[in-house]
Amino acid sequence: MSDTPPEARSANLFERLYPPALVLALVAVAVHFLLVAVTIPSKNPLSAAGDNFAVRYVDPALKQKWSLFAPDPLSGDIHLMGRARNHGGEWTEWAEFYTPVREEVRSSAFNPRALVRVHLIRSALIPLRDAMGKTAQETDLLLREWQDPDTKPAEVVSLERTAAGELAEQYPGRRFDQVQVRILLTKLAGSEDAGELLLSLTLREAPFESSVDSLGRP
Amino acid sequence: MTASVRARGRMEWLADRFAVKHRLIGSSLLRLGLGGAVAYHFASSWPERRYLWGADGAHPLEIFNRTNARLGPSLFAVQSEALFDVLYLAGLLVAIAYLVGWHTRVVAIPFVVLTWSLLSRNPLALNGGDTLLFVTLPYLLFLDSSACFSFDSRRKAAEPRSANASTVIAALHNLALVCLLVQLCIVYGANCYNKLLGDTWIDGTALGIVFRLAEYEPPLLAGFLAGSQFVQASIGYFTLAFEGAFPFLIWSRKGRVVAVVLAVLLHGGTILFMGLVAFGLRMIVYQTVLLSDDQYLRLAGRRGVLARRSRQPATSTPADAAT
Repeated sequence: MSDTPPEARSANLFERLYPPALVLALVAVAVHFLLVAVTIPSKNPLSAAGDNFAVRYVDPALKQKWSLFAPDPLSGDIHLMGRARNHGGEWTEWAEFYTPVREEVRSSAFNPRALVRVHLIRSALIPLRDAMGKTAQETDLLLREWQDPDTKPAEVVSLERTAAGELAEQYPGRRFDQVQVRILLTKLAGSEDAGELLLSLTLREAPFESSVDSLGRP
Repeated sequence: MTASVRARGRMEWLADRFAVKHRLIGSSLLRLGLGGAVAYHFASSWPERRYLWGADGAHPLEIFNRTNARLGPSLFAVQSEALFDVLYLAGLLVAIAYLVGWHTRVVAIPFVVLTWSLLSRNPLALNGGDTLLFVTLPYLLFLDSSACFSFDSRRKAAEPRSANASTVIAALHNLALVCLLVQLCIVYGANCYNKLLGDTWIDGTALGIVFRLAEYEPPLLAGFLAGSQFVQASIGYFTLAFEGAFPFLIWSRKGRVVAVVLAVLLHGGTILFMGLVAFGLRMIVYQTVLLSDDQYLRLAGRRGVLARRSRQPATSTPADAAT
């Protein structure tokens, strides 16, 4: 029979279990990050497979995509424009709603609307990238898919609601029933034919539902 | 010596190393940086909160609920404006409490939950620094980040814990550190890999495009940076070299110092020349966990002197000093 007191037995047990438990924890950490790492590269047979264990493991909260200006930076300036239609069928003029935010953010280093700019850019980039390189027919099909309220991408919803909010503010007291957004990509400043249109993507009309206090103005 | 004896020896070496908390100064600096960044995030976005995260904002609730698998659930996915504002202000208050290191172990829980909730509420409003914060938030729960520069470090020492409990807590802290370091390696390694897939980074013209984008046109030296292909290519290749080398540099004592210096140069550059202030500062903050306590003390000219509440040995352990 052992004469070892209970505290000492407990300490001995801890000393025996702690090192292998630590090794197991490190192995778990290694496996976790391996699974995260294999799904990150954009051109990757594992991530392209779509349904393997690694992809299911990281989705949704562990998904990461580290591709700032990668693989290539977008070589054009983005413009976001919106117009609205009243019940009589008359459309307003196209109005830019992104450039003023961009210029305001550029004017000061800690501008609180920097996050709004990030939001608008990300909302615009996904539709732009989806539409790039497509034929007119393919683009048309894409735009029709985006019109379906059940499958409309969050980015498109964001742009439409933002545009609607801006137009509601620009035309106070007027009532609209439809909004339409146009995303333009123009040549960079400093390049030959700076400002020339590279791509124009006009989304289909959508119900006029404005986001509350468009672009954060009270 | 048999293989099993050697393995046992290595395991015990590892266990001893993890039984003492490392990089307490760096962890505390990280707390200061992230607490400040999140508090600023909440405070500065107050006027835009409804637009960015509100139920009827640019990312409305019905869209969030439809696509909520994108990042996960969020406490801010509520219809009531009053409840939303209460949660938002709570997020700001816990961020301030976390920043000053007040009851940090407890405050870290609502800090992580509320910050995570806000970030996941609208995935479109995340920049790169926000994404890194999002994936590293859980590790903050296990990190001892209040050993220095905090109200907690000035309070009377609590009842000493049992040796076993201290060992487990130290091991969890060190595991959290390892996770942070590996995550940083993934960030830079993946960025390098993705850039190498692009022709413009290989031929050195990528930054020539970036400096002419209206969003990132440099507020300083615009003409020089956008006009000199040599400068653009040099900075571009430096970026690639740094990002590719980072995952290897940080595991050696001297390499870490080089990594920190280069990271501050790179991200300082993005702040000064591209106006990416929030992102650049966030990335610099994460570099604080790279240096050991001994390295910080040497930097401060106070090697061997540590005037703070002793939760751990006052100076770095021999194992830490050796690295």
